[in-house]
Amino acid sequence: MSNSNRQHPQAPGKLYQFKLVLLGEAAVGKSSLVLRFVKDQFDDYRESTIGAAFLTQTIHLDDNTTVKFEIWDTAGQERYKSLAPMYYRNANCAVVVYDITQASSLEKAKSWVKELQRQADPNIVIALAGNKTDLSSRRAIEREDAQAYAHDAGLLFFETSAKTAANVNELFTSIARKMPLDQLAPNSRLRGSLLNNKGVDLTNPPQNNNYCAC
Amino acid sequence: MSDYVTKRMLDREAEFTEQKTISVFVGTWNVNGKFASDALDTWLMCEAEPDIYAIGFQELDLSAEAFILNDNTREEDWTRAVARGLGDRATNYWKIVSKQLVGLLLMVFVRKEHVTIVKDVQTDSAGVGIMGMMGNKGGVSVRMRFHDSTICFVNCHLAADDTQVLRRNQDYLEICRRITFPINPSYSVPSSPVSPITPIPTSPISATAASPNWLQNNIPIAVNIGGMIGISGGPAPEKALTIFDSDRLIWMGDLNYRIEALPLAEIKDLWEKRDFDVLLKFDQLSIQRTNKWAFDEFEEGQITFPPTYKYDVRTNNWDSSEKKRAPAWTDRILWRSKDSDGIKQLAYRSHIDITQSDHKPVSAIFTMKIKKILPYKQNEVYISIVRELDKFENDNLPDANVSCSVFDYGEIKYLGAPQTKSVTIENTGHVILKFKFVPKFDEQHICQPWLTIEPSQGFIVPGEGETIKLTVAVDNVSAPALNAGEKIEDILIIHLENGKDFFISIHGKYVPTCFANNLERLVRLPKPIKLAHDENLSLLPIGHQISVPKEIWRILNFISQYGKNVNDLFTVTGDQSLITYIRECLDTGEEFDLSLLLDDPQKKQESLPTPLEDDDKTIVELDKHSTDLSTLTEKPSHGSLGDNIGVHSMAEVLIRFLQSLPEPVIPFHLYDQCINIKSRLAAHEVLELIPSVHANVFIYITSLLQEVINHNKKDIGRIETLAFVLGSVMLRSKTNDRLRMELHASQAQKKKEFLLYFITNELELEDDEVEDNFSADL
Repeated sequence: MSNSNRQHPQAPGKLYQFKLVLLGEAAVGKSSLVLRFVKDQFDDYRESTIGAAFLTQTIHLDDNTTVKFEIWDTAGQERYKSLAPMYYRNANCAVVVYDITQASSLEKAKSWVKELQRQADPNIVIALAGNKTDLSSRRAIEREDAQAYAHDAGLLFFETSAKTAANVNELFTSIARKMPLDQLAPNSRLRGSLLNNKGVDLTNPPQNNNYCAC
Repeated sequence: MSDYVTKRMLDREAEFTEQKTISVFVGTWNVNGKFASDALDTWLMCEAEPDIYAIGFQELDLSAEAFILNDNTREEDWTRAVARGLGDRATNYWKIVSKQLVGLLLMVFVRKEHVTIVKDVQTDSAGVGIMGMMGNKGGVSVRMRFHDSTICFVNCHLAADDTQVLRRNQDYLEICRRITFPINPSYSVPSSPVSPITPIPTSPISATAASPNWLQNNIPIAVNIGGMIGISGGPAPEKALTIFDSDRLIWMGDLNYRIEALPLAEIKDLWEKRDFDVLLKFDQLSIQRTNKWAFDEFEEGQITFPPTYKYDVRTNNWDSSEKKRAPAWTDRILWRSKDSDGIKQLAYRSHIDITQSDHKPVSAIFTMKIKKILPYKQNEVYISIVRELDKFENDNLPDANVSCSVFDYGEIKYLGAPQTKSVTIENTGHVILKFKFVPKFDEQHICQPWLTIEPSQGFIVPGEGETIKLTVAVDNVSAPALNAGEKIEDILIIHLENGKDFFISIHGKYVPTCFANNLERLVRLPKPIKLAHDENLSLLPIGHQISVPKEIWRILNFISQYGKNVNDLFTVTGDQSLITYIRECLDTGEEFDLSLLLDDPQKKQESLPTPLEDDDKTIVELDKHSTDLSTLTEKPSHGSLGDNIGVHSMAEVLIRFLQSLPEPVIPFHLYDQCINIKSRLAAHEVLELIPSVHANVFIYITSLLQEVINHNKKDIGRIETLAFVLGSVMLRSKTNDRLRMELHASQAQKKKEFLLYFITNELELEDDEVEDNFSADL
């Protein structure tokens, strides 16, 4: 029989958790991308992030792999740049965002990519996201140019719109697919769960070693 | 997380499962050791072609060898007989499994089209016969998954004889206990003998468990964070499932329960009258079930067929042998369903035209509800549950409002009044908020040394807030870096436990001071520090520096001019506003306003230095100042603070200046050496070891002290005092000086002694005899 010794078609699933960090110039739409991805919402007027916001979102891939992202959305303002390493240090993946209507924002994105490639985990998966495609009439960065750069730098690339939701899920899903799932040791960066006392086993946001004494 | 997901999946199982109804034929027959001879079609044929045939035989072989030999010939014989009984239908079925234990045989056939959906086929048996273990009595069982419901069949033969009720009950419990199935079978069902019906498919064997089947499918079970969280379906603890860990359970066989306490004639009579109700009252199995002694977990359909035992072979007559066994419903089919309506019996009958055994075959036809998981919908439900969990998790993350994220402290002065600003953290989330200021990347402290945060951590209940005081004050510890060019600038990180971080920016404009600078830096300043800072001047190149900081020179020069005759110099506290004024003059290079610093500038300069005159002057000076006071509104005034307050203030400026040096005049590393020096020569040699600017400052200061001493005619008490005060600031240990002084009073003594080597003459000072010498002098 052809099905002898064949595994059950619905193989046991796997659940992975990854730390994802968003970087990019101020006002390119990092928080909006997260809000769209996590809550499927959009605010036209959003206060700038002064700090680092934390949210989680789970993606279920077709091959029964479930990927849970713990997302750190960082402040884009230049004055907080020195704090970024706290957030990308243990990140497994990063979304570097620029605004397709602001030429300078791609340059800033490139410098973030450089910094990540130099300072972050060598296996970090980086995606470049050109946000605000809803404003394509004011486009200042050609898709092809950014794509060529992303290709050369080995980045995933998407043009997105947090406002229209275009490509937002695709962006995060493709990151999930790109994660080197097979190579991960099961106990790497094992973290305890802290919210058990609330009856639900939610996992603990990442703690930098610097300030883990919670 | 997985437990929660599992539970929610269970709750919503209906959303991703499809109900299917299948029909199942169950037959049981004690063949009394006979070879198959009768046509079985009347037993096996039923109107619709059932999806499953489960057929159990007992007493396949009564020979003694049967206990020992694993003889399949009887099974083949009966399989063929079944195939013949099914006639044309036979080609529609595949035998997926059979299980034999001596005389017990259980065979399961399914319709061809179901072969691929029958999975996880497992079998087991339990002998409970002779010695409680032999296979002449016992049970065999087949467990399988049909779509996503598990079905278990048990065929048994319990202890015989009408008196053996308890034994039968015990056999039942033993079979229930001893037939088990591993959760993760590592073996395959032995391949079935080739059946004449059809080729036997090799049953696909995979993991199975008592838990809902979708648990084995694609639901993550284990959790471990950061990378791969876990895999379900991996090796689980070896735990056996029982027959009851099935969605659908059918029990058939020769249970051997009799009709008790009724004479044979009466049974026959009741049977003739079809009075089942009365008869069944005496049926041992019914009695056991009613009293919950055995089989009480099971259901049984209404019996409408005659007792199936014991007949004269080849007849439909009750036993006519000498024993004249009373008729009994020994052959039964019962069921148990996990859901209340999972199994429905359509028929329950015996087949009296089959006469080759002393038992009649019994059959039952059931419909069973079967779950079929729809993987696509299952995924949808799973995703929605995980999303719910995400939402719950995100909604329950701590959240807060921070009242302000930028603080500008304006001008910050060295030793200025502490500047406090407040930031309020308001808990806007749904959970208790634990906040904590944390250090920046790779830093040790949560803020710069000139800032204090109070409180730096705490917890806030939802809806409430906490005010945090952020105080900027520059002292000797924090000033050196600021004087050297660092800015009042910091970013604070408020970390919410399990949540986000807030940044708070702190700004201020520091006014640099000559205090709390390295001497090496002061001598390279091209202008007074405030001007150099404001004009953004760079330091003089090395080699072009001056020999002694201008500020020291100005202080010493003032004291030399106006203070030599002040006999309590360095022992009287100065005036704070004058001290600040002097420091500002030093910082800006502005000339000292003598009218502020001297009691009477004119008179003072003329009258230097007659200590006796000082006493007379006191009253006059006080009067004078009381009138001056009203005119002095802007600039600091010493008012009625006392005589020579300007000089005392200047002296205190010197002390404070020396105290503020980040590296004392005698550098830290020479401290221990200096306080242990025992000779004038060795003391002077130390000056060779210290940087030239330090040596110069030291020499300038000790020269001034000598001048003061000479001026005061070698007042021994004064010398001691001067040496003590200046020694304590020029010689400092790296550890907290004050603490050390308390712990070791001798340290202060030793500092004083070190200084004495420099401010007294050789003749006057001979090692330990210093005091004696001075006493003699007096």
